[in-house]
Amino acid sequence: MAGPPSRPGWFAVPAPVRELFKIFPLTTLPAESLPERAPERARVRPSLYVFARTLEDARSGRPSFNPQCLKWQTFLRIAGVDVHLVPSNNHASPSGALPFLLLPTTPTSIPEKQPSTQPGSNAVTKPTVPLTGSKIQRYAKDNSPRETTFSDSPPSRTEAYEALLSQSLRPAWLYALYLHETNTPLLKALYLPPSPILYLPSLHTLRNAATDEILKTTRRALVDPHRLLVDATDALRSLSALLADNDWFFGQPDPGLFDAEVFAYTYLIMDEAFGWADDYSLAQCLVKFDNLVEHRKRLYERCWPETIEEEVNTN
Amino acid sequence: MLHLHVWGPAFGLPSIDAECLAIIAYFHNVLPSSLWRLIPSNDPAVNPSNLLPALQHEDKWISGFQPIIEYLTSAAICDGLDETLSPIQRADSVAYGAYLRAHAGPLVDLSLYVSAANWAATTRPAYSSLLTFPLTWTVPTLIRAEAIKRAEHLGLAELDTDFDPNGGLHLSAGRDALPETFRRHIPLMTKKTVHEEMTPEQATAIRLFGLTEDCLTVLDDLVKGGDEEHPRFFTDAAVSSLDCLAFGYLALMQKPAVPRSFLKDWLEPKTPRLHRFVDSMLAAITTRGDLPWVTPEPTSVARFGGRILDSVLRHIPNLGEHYASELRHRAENQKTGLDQRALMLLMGVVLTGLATGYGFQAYRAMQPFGASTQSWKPRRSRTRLSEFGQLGSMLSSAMGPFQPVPSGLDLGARDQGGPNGMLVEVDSEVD
Repeated sequence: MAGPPSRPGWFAVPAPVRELFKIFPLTTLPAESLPERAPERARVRPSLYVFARTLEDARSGRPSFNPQCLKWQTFLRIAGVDVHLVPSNNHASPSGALPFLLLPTTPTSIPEKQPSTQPGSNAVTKPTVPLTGSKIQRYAKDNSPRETTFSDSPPSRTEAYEALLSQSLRPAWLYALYLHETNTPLLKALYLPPSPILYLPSLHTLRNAATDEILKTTRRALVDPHRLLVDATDALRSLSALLADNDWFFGQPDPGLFDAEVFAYTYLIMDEAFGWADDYSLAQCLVKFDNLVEHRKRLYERCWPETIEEEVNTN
Repeated sequence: MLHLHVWGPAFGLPSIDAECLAIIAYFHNVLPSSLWRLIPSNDPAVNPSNLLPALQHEDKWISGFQPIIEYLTSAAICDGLDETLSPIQRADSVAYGAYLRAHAGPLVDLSLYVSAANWAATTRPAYSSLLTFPLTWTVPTLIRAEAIKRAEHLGLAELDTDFDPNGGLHLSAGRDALPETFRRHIPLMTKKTVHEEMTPEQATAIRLFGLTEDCLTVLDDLVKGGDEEHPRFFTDAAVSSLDCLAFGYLALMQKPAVPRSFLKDWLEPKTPRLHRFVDSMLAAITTRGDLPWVTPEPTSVARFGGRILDSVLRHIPNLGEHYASELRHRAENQKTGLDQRALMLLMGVVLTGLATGYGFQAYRAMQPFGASTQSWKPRRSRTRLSEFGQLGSMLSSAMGPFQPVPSGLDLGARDQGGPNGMLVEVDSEVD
């Protein structure tokens, strides 16, 4: 079907132009390696990137205001892994969500066979991959200085109760923080940029995302604040029954990831300095369950002993 | 009398929706069939929360599985099924209920709605038999879009072969993206790779089975022990609310005759206890007698038309989403009639419509691009030569009162143009 090669088609590039373009590229430089090989200063401690109100809060290691960040922060503290907190936001994260953990930079030996295309890679440090989710858990377990062996709780029940947190407690949290009108100043202080030009569109986007998330998880057609609160109370009642008189969930001798996950919500819900509005109160649901309040206090004293001392000193 | 509105029967089950199935099983276990009526209304808009199942008791509407159960107990209509459970069993019941919604729900969505083959062969025909004619074109696709949204986080969009991440024609799709007429002219050069030969369900089998295994093993662990013939989640003989909810989801995994039955393929050999559980729950429903079905009242023409219009509006890109969120906003704040916000919106829509219409008319009235400007000159004398510009006037003055013979075409044009001017047709086709 194809015609003789000598006859140029309609769209053929004229020969001189083709020759000219064939010259390019004149030279191909070797690829630059990522700037990560030369961080500003070598990290001696792993860095956990979290949401934090102020730089001061992050430096002194106070609990983050975001439940996901607080969960991993608490778990790392339970494991006794010392991390450096970096206040950050979602745009900094490679996965689009906080928290993520950057490992300490470690000097590596130069590999034997150096690929010639990367002349700059004889760096002193190995590029680190940010860890998220269960990888943080594995890192914490491997690097824990304590002898706690994180005995595994029954996996299937843990999964069921984790679903309870994400399915019943989280929608109520999302509603209270993102959609409830009287909490708007709080939301503005936590997540929104101060500039009024950026503030309104960001608020709109955040609210839409929160609404979508609530509708998707609850499988309902409308957002019903009262129903969300009832579901959250049911969830807390179940958690309270599960904890019973034990110190930690599932009758473990030491707190684990599930304790951290529950603590992340209970701590923030009952935090008086958080700035919750009074008319849609998750805290009122929570105070009814004494053992959960005790659990929150117990874990806080275990993980943040220095702030307890501070409070004692200031009083 | 309690009126329970649900999605209608499908796949040999009393309902096509998991929570409707669950609440039907619950009602059938707690109440004698003389006390309640089951209405396959197939329209979530019958109740203000826009959700089925919905219970109508006297003037109250309650919707959703858990709220209805709570209402039955709080209104002292009947004893709940969970009365005999210990506190920790109740806690488990709530937690596993949440687990079912969080993990079994998206699996059912994947199997019945996201998978294009299953949707086309099984689910959509089932909806078509439930709905009346024009709604069968609009409503099922909306339900499917919602299900796809709910299962999105599993990252298995490949199951929907219509799904195209880049939109439109893109190169990776290869020959299949080309129209049939083009394809004939390109010789078939490559054989299909193994991956292309597989159905999307086969290509993602490892992830699919992983998800299914995770979900069903958790449930299977709780059913362990107890009666082998009639497995239940807590006690051996009685049925709990968790049994009903699990029946709703598991029956939709097991019963529909789907062409790509990855859920059933796992359920039958790997977790035979759950398989028996569904069968025994279904048998228990049938042995307790017939369900008190009632045919729904015929909908009025206005209501039916409104529903059609509503579902069509929701299909409009962009505008449909705004419309849906506006409706949701009004329903949440229980607004009816016109208020300031609605009035502003309405005015906005009307003004935009007017502006667009005016702009369109103005565009239509514009001269076609490329057409030459036309000018009309009053014809002072009766000579036709002056029509040819300055040269014509000069000629006409030179030639005196000469009148050229008008052709037929000219005559017609003169009639249209009136006494003082004439329209000149200009070839306005621009390419």
